[in-house]
Order: sequence, then C-alpha cells, then structure tokens
Amino acid sequence: MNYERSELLEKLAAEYVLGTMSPRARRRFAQVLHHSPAAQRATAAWHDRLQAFNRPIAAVTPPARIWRAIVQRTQGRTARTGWVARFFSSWAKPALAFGFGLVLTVGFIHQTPQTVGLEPTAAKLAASYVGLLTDSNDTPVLSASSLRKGKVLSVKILKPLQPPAGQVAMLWALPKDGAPIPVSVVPFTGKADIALTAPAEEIFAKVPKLAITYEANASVTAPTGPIIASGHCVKIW
Amino acid sequence: MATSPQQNEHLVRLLGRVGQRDQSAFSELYSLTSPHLFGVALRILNRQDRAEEVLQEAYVNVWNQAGSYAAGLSAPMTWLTSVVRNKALDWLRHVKLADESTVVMVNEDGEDYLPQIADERADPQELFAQATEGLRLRHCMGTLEAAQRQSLALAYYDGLSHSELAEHLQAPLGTVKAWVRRGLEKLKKCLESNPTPVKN
Repeated sequence: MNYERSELLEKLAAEYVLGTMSPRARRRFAQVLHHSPAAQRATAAWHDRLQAFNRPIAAVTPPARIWRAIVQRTQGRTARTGWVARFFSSWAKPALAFGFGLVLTVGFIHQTPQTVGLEPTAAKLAASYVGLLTDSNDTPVLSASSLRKGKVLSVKILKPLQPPAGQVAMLWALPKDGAPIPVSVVPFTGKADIALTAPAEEIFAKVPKLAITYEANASVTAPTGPIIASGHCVKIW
Repeated sequence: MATSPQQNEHLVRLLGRVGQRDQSAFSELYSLTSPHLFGVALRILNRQDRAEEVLQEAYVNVWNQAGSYAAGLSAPMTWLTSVVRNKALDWLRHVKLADESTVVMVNEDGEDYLPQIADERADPQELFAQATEGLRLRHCMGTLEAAQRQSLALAYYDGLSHSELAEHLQAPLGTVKAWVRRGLEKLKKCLESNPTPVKN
C-alpha cells in the first residue's frame, strides 16, 4: 500500500487519531509513522483538529504512587543494574575526591566486607569506568560511571551547569590519539542514566580524559565551545 | 485543559529541559499536566487501574521522547494528550478487558472510585456538545448528520473501534465506516474553511 499517497494518508491518519482502526491496521500505521514525516504531519494535524474535544473532560488528580513509579523507572534503577549503580555511585565521589583513596577504599572493602554489609561475592567494586570532571577552580562538576561491559553511563551533576540560554551541555570522550567523541548531552542538575551506543569498554578503553562543553545543539560532532570541566577517566579493575 | 500562549511557551520550555534529562522540569511538567491527562485516560478506559498504568507508561514515554518533541508540529498539550490517547487506545485494542463489574477501584484513601467515575462519565454526545460550545467547532459539528456526530463522539470519548461502533449502534459495519469517514471529511473541510485557529 502506498502510504505516501496524500488522500489515503489523510484518511488513515484521521482514523488513527480518532481511534477507530482495527488492532492490525493500527499496528501497521504506527510502523508507518516511525519513518514517514508525511504521516507524522498528517497525524499531528488531526490531533490538533480534535484536541478541543478534550476540553470538557474533567481533570482528576492521579494518586501519588503513579509519580513515584514514574520516577523509579525514569531514573533507570532496573533490576539488572540497580544495586550496582546505587552502590557504585555512593562510593565513586568520595573515592575519586580523595584520589588514591579509591584504591584504599577498594582494598578496605576487600579486607573488611562486613563493614559495608556486603557478602563476600560482592566485596569488590565491579569492573567499571569512572570519571570525575572538575572546573578551572578544581571544583567537582560531574561524576560519570559505567560498568565495564555495561551500556548505561550514570552521571551525577555535582555543581549545576549554567549554559547560555538554548544551549546544551555535551559530554565528550577525549581519546589518547584521535578526535573527541561526543558521548551524550547531560542534564544541568541532578542525575541521569545515559544509554550508551556500545558497551562502555568499547567507548572508553582508550579514553584517558572526559570533558564538558556547551554547544548550540545535541547533534554537534566536534566541540566548538570552551571546556567547562574536564577530568580523568579511569578503569577500576 | 485550555492553555494560554504563555502557558504553552512554558510547557514547551519544560519539554525542552525534560529532553535534556532535567528531573525538576519533568516533575513540574507532571504537576501541571497529569490531572488533565489522567482525566483523559480515565475517560477513555473507564477503569482506574488501567488509567494508572497508561498514565505511567505515557510519562515514561514523554521522558524518553521529549527530545524528539517538535514544537512546530503540535502544541505541547496536544502532543502530551496524543501520547496518552495512543497508549489508552493500544490498551483497548490489545487487552481484552475482564468483566468490569468485578473490578474494585480504590483510591489512596481507600475510597471506592467507581461511583465517582460512573457519575462523571458523561454521555459522549454531551461532551461533544460542551467541547463545541463557543468554538468554531460548534458550527462545523452542526454540518454533520446525527449518525456521523454520534459515531465520532463514541469513538473519541469511549474509544470504540469500527466494529464496536457497529455493534453499539446496531448498524452494518460498512455503514458505520462511512459515517465515520464522511464525518471526519466534513469536519476537516469545515475547519479548514474557517481561519480561526483552535489553540489548546
């Protein structure tokens, strides 16, 4: 079926938005929507046309548990990485802030696991990459950590970022030899779990440093702004 | 939920920040928009538990997709509502609802939700009439035949599919499909001939 034919597209978009399509037709059109800008435009126009019908619907404050569940899910605390991420992030900052203290901490936990309530199998920090970025005054700005084979980079903003209006904060991997690699846009405050395009090992194995710049948009391929913060990217294993 | 241009701009800014993984912006966006969106989910699903799940799924989607929200394509409330409606319709189409009369709906204070919803679940035609009050839609809806109006109202507010409409209206499937199609066509034609935009 040629979905780009405007008349047909218009009819399907209208019925998709109204909601009368059969499950099969609905699934098929949802797939078309993924890759057809024309379908996206037609659908958006129908949502716009019918939006006024939502006005008389009474607002109902949702129970607080919904927001709690949403926060839990959007902070990425999945069963797979949950305890590792929590455990790791709680140790990463002090360990790095004290430099060699990290090594001491690993040794300490290894020797006396009972002090942190760990079973012997969890007595070591998981093999991970860790970065601590500081600004020109040596103030910690951002910590980043990822399991060696993990595909999630957990970042925590330690000092709020204040880019000019409309700009984004971009995290870069600075390889030993080679051009900077854009990792991800990071939030200005708080924490985030960023999905990596490949396991951390593939991205950070030859990356001794990380940096943040402010950029006009998230699609830049090379840094254009000055470095706001930078720091070492180290392996922990 | 009607939004002023200022509120619209604020929501666009919040969505931009949510796209950059700003939790505080996400929290504010939720506070501002969730009562209306929960109302939309409850209206179409008519079940507290399903509406809660749909609302949760919708906001997780918003968190993940806010970066791709195009302000030029649709107003923020329209986009957010579309996310909720799509999730709700997916629920209706893919999940066979159990016997609704056996479902006990209890809110956080332990109160039964059912009577409240049952009372508030107005007739779709009445909602249609309210939606069109004072809007150019009133005129345009007036150009539709009664059967076309009723079909659109039942589909939009109660989430009925073509075949469910046919069953509900006791009419052949082909006839119902034609009512819906012609109703939508007439509505579009009429709205396009009127230059006043409906902002929401």
